[in-house]
Amino acid sequence: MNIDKLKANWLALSVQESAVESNCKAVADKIAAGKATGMQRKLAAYYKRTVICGLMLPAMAPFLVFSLDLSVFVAVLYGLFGILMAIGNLWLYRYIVSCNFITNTIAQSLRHSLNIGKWRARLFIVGIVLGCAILAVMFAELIGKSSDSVLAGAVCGLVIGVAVALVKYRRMRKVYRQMLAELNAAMD
Amino acid sequence: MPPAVIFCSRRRLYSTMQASECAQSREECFREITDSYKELVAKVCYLYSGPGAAFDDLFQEVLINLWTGMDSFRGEAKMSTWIYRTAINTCLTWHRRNGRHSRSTVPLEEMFAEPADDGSLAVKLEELRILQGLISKLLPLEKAMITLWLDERSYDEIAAITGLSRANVAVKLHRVKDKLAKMAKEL
Repeated sequence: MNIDKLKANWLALSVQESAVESNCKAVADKIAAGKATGMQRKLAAYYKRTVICGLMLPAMAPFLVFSLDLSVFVAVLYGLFGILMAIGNLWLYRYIVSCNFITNTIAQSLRHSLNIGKWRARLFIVGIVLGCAILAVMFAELIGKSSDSVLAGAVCGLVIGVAVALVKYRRMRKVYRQMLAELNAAMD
Repeated sequence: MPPAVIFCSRRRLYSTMQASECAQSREECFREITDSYKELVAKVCYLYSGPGAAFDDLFQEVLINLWTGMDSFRGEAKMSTWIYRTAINTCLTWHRRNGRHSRSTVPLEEMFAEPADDGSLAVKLEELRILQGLISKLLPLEKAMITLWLDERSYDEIAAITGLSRANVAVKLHRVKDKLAKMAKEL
């Protein structure tokens, strides 16, 4: 197969107006009516929600002490975890909002896109590891010394969960690093 | 033939024939742009569509970004350059894992018109599928360059859109074409 032939074929083919006309009109109507939201805004909105969720954790921390009878130490850890995740998510939210995929060149957009992916993966793994660690401490306090088998099961589950998340994270990190390296090489 | 672009004051884009028509609304301008360049957008979206990225979703996303970015167009570059940049940027950075959205409502056979030359549409569509398959194996920046090369964009325009230098575009494009040719030979 010759690529010049493929190119000539590509140029010879024209899009049927009728095929995209209705689609185009429907989308334009939706956009003009303000009913269509782009992926960038959706992603930003998601991280905005996670910031709010993160900030709710410190507010809920006193309930752990008064309702579940957990120690102040666990409640503080729980609150700090929420604040940390909120800060991370806020940073990512601001980064996503600041990216301009319209005026930027393709190389810049790709770099931003890869950075977003990389930071999403980082936040994911930090959230999983810290969240699991706090859950483990909470379990340990909740179950106490009365049921060793339940505690052992919970710890095993948490360890396996963290291990799976770490493996997933390492794979994602490898892909993003490779893609960034390729992009950097292309820019040289 | 796309309309002439007249850039008016207050950073507003008006894609009209005459400056006197600048009073038209943003929405009308947008409809004119989409109407004039829908084929270009559709072809780019088609090249980047595939499993996990349906043509319809990409098409909608590109139009949303064109709408969002209308005010950012300052008329310094050609309108087609701006549209190419927005369309390719959108397609390359568009991510959705949800498999529910992987089907397109526009079948390939209905999307492209019968070719003007004597070749049959079925054969051409088969070659188009091969081209799409080959391009999907390229790296993102390579994909962008080859898309622009396919549409016979100049090196200067490719450089402006990708952010590479002109010399770099020439070298990289040569390499990408070699890579593509090798992949095509292996078929």
